[in-house]
Amino acid sequence: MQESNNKNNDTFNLKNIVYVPIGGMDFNYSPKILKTIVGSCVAIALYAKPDKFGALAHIMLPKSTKHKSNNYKYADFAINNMVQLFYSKNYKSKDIIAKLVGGAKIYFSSQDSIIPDIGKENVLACRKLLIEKNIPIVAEDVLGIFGRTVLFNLLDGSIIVKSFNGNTLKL
Amino acid sequence: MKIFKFFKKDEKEPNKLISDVIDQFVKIASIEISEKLQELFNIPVILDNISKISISVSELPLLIGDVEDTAISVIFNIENELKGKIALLFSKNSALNLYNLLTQKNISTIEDNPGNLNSEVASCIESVSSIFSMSFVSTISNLIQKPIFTSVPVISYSFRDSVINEIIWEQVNSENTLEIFISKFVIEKVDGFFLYIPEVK
Repeated sequence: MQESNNKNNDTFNLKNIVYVPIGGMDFNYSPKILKTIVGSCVAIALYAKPDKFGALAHIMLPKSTKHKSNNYKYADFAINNMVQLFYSKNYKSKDIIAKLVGGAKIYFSSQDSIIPDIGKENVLACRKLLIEKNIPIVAEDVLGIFGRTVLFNLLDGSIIVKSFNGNTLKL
Repeated sequence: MKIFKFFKKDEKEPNKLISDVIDQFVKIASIEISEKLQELFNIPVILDNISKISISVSELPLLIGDVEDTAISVIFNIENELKGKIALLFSKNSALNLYNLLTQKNISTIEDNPGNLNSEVASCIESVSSIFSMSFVSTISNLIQKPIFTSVPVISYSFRDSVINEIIWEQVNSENTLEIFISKFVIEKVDGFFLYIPEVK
């Protein structure tokens, strides 16, 4: 994998990039890079440093109970199943770190007060669920008003966040 | 009529009959919309009626284009007899061309600064979208002879994927597919998508 020295301008070997779609989840080992794009959705990244193993979910809504569905679209289902995946590979909660990206409010209209802030609800649900699982959230780039491209590098667990306003940061 | 090969028809749809009826209504409404737009622009409007599809939520962005492109959507919630959402989706370039076409100006960007949509452009997009929306709703309202109301429009502007998330997030069912009625329209250098997404029961 190629990585530049400039932390705000990391470039990756395109062959290593795995795209995680809306409502999807993927897991892999280094040198893969898991990628997704989120607006009000949240990208949940879990990482186990010893084996450079990570999982990335793109959740859309906080709870599956209301929708009676088991699907990675929902924060509760995604986090429960991602953590179980790590447990099944003999990791314990203390071996896992979490990072969250997304939860923006990308509405432009002045009447947006009638629209529920689903981004915020998603972020709050993810935080609560991860705390319940004793998984530390070591970094976040959440809320705000811009969509974000997320590149989760399984080499070191870092995340490059490219914001719609042109800013790039590394978590 | 353009057919996208990756569309998957859901033969097990329990409300297929209702769905087919809505499909016919949407087609009739699309013609009405086309006529309204031709009046507005005084130039031909091409409507590419892709019609009813059941599609995976993750495939929808692929239909609309490159996920990292920029898009603007105007979303209307529909109440009464035809619950669901109407959304108009424009690419960044199409929004620019639409604004220049309507105002006879020649602006080169639709943003005040990176990521922030200019309010005049937003207002222009909202106005055209309202014409779409009202034509659709009034045509179907006349067909079923019952009142249908839409909410105030909401504009979102971001990466195309993010914008599509805002359109579909309430509508996604447990099977990970959603039924969607979609038309592509072309007005000179402006192309966009008109989407109707019924409420998921």
